[in-house]
Amino acid sequence: MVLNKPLGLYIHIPFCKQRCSYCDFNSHSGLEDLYDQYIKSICVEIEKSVQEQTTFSEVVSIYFGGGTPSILPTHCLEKILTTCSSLFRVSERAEITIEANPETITREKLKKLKTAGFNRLSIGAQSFDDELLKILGRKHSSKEVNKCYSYAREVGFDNINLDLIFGIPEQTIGCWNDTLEKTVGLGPDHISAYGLEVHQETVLCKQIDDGLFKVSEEDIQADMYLNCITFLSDKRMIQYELSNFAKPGKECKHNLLYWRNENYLGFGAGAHSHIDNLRFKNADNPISYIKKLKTGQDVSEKYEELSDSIALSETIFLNLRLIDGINLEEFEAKFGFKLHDVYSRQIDDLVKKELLVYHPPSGAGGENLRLTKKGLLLANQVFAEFIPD
Amino acid sequence: MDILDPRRIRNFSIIAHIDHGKSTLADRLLEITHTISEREMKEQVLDRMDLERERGITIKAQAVRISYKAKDGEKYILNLIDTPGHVDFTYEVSRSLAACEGALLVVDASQGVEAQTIANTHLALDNNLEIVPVLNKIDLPSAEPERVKHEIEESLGIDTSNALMVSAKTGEGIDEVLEGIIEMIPAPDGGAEAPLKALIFDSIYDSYRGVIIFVRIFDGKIEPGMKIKMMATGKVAEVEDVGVFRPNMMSVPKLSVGEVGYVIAGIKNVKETKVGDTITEEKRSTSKPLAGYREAKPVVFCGLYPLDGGEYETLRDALDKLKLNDPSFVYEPETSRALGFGFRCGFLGLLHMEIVKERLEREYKLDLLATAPNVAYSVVRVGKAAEFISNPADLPSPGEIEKIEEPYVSISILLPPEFVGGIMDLCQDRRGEFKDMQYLSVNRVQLHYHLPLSEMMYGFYDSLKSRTRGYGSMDYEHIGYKESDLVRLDILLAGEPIDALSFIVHKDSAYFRGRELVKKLREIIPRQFYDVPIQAAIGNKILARETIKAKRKDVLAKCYGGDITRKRKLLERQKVGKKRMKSLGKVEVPREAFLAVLKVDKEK
Repeated sequence: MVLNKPLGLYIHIPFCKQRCSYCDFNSHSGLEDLYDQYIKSICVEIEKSVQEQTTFSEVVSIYFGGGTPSILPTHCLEKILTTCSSLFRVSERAEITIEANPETITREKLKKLKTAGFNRLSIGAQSFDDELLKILGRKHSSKEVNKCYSYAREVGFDNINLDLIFGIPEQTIGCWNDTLEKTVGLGPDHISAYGLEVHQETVLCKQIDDGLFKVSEEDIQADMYLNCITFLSDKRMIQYELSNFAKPGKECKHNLLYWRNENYLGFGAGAHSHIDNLRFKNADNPISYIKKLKTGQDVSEKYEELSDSIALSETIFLNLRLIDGINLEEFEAKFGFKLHDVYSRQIDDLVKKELLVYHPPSGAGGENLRLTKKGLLLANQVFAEFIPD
Repeated sequence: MDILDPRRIRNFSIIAHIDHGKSTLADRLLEITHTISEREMKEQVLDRMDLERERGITIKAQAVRISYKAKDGEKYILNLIDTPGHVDFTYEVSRSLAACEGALLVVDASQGVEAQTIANTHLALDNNLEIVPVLNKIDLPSAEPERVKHEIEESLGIDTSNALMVSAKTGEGIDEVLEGIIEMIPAPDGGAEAPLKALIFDSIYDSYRGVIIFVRIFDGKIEPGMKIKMMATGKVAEVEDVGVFRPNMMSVPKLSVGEVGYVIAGIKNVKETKVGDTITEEKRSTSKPLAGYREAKPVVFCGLYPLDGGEYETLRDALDKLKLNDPSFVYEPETSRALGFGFRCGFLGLLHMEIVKERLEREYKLDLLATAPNVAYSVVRVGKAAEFISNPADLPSPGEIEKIEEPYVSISILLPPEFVGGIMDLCQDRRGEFKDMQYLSVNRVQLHYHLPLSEMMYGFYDSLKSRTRGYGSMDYEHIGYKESDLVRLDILLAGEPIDALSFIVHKDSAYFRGRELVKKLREIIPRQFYDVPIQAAIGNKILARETIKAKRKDVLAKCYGGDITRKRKLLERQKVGKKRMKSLGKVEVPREAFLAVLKVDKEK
């Protein structure tokens, strides 16, 4: 590991009161009895991981994701955070985020979290329409979102994200605009707006197959996305990634690590890590995760050594997610050749199709290659062109 | 081995409508006579090709020799010659029957007489075969043997007083079938010392042994070392090996009069051993060949193109090899502006086409793009002689055409009377000419129509089945060409005519077909980066237009806890999906689009 490269830490809390209808991620309900053992295991994993490191990069972000991290008692979260801070070289300006679902939050709890060192709160609001929240299988109402948000401000969180979902079955454009207005009305520092993806084997997918709900059409989703971009930019929330908007300076450091293809270590069941040319992933199941750590086995199940061509294509499609796109000078410095030398056919074609554009960057000299507005909507079609055969 | 006494030989076939239990009965006969040990017994042994077993149909004729000790104490040799069960292969059926003295007519005791029952019985009668009626599936509660016997007598004029009652599934009545074969089917006759006269009823190509010819000896004998001559092709060859099927090939010293077996004579191409030809001795020819053979002519054509243009040579090699074993299919190179280099291929029918395409993809690992099947048209240009056109793209412009003729079939449909109205409408819609209608029994009517072959190709059988709730059955034969008012419909994608999507259609239905096809294509072709208009046109006249709207959104929002691999895999799948499409100009078209014309239902 290169010493001066920044490092992110990700802690996965795979527990929920109940799974949301659209969720196909690694989350489980009814495992309350495991909480203590799970926390211990994570701390063991962190210790082991630190012992294996030969150099120490500076940690610029710690991110507690889920599942529902806020479901855990504060002292558990605190214990993990303390373990990280004592074993890693954590920057003083590090961003320390916790994802929270409104129904798990009290004023008291938020206060403790703030005191424990969390300085960024990501609230899973998803929508301000209570009917849509029910379709999503969320356990909170829009009222609880408001409450959670004002508690967070009261206890001093000055970096708050609201997660939103659009393209929910039955959601109209009017509904979505209303949610956007209410969101902006609260004045968050950061907004993530995700188009709903209906995955196989989710409750929602079955409900759609059974004809209970209609899947949102491509054209409506496109309009919602465009409305979102226009509306938020009017409100001076700057779009810096496909789905992410922030007040200047409040861009999420953690997600930027992913998109800049930087290093991160994931701890907990199913957590993903990326260190230089290696990706690896822990056992998904919390029970086998705990068992492996108890018995001294390797918790990582899948190792993938990235070939040069895969690393190259990942860098490209991750960088292109950012609104500024790929800085061509930095690219050449990193890979030793010009991007256009390898992908001239693809790039020229995509520029002709008005999906990619060369653009002077907001800051320093040189040129960037980035998605056009049309390209933002069709990003997958663009990315697929950079996948090696 | 002693010379077999022809009086102890019986050569027979089994004829039946599809699914009436022909193959199951054959299995039981082999099993009960220990022709095959139980260990070797697979379901439906005679259908050897994997494809045949999967589809439950017989594609190539097969033969097997059964030894049987009858109740009279004598040992008999029974040669069972299986026949293909599909109308595409009628000619092979008829040649197989010509090798026999009798046939078991298997009729499902609850379904009764069906169109192929009648068609195959007529083929058997044309070959002067003794017909032994067998009522199968008598174990089913729905079996009505008396009604079905009556139907057989009424519709076929066959005496059913000694019809055999069997259940091939349970084995009931199988002994009686064996005895029935010996009692009712005549022994072969012919001169043991006469010059050789043998019928080729099938031939297959084996990569180790060359062509294996399936023969029935009518006069004389055949043995290794003999110089033989194929009377139609004039090919002379020296016999290397002769043998019988038990059911695997087993060499014997010779095949003599009345016997059925195989001949290997160092021949490298099945073209030289045409089904239906007569084999005789080179020096001592038989005076008269057996009733003639004819070349099975392809009637259905389509273009086959490798999805990956680089596979063109592989496709050509595969076609060459397949042709060695299947002379009834033809091909020649063609070039399409849209699809590049490929082959125009001709088949005996749609099933034959599907089978060939599937074998090419399966056995040669090719990804093929097939254009919609069409018939061959006879076209007379002004002041010129008639020529056949098997690719719609080759049709001259309307001004140059004096007349166009298209192939017709005579179709016979059997159905319960209550469905007659619906089927007459169907035939009417398909430009059918009513010929006659006959009551075979109170609940079975035979309808007879002349129909353009092209109209029968597109979903006719499915409509027949749905309109008769599955009770209707059909059979057809080709009856030649008739003049028609036909036009070529062109399809344009993004303003560019796509030759591989052109098809020929009757003027009266051009508008409807064009409109339906562009609708269908709009559903099949995914949204692209641009709006893509789809148009149907005759010459410069646009008949219909639809637009595939530009793709607007394809973006993955979330990044699950840094799981980049998942995202990459998804993009990889997307890329593979795209590669499986054909790029026509700037439009990516999935393979199904080229067959969309088949899915345009006339009946909406």
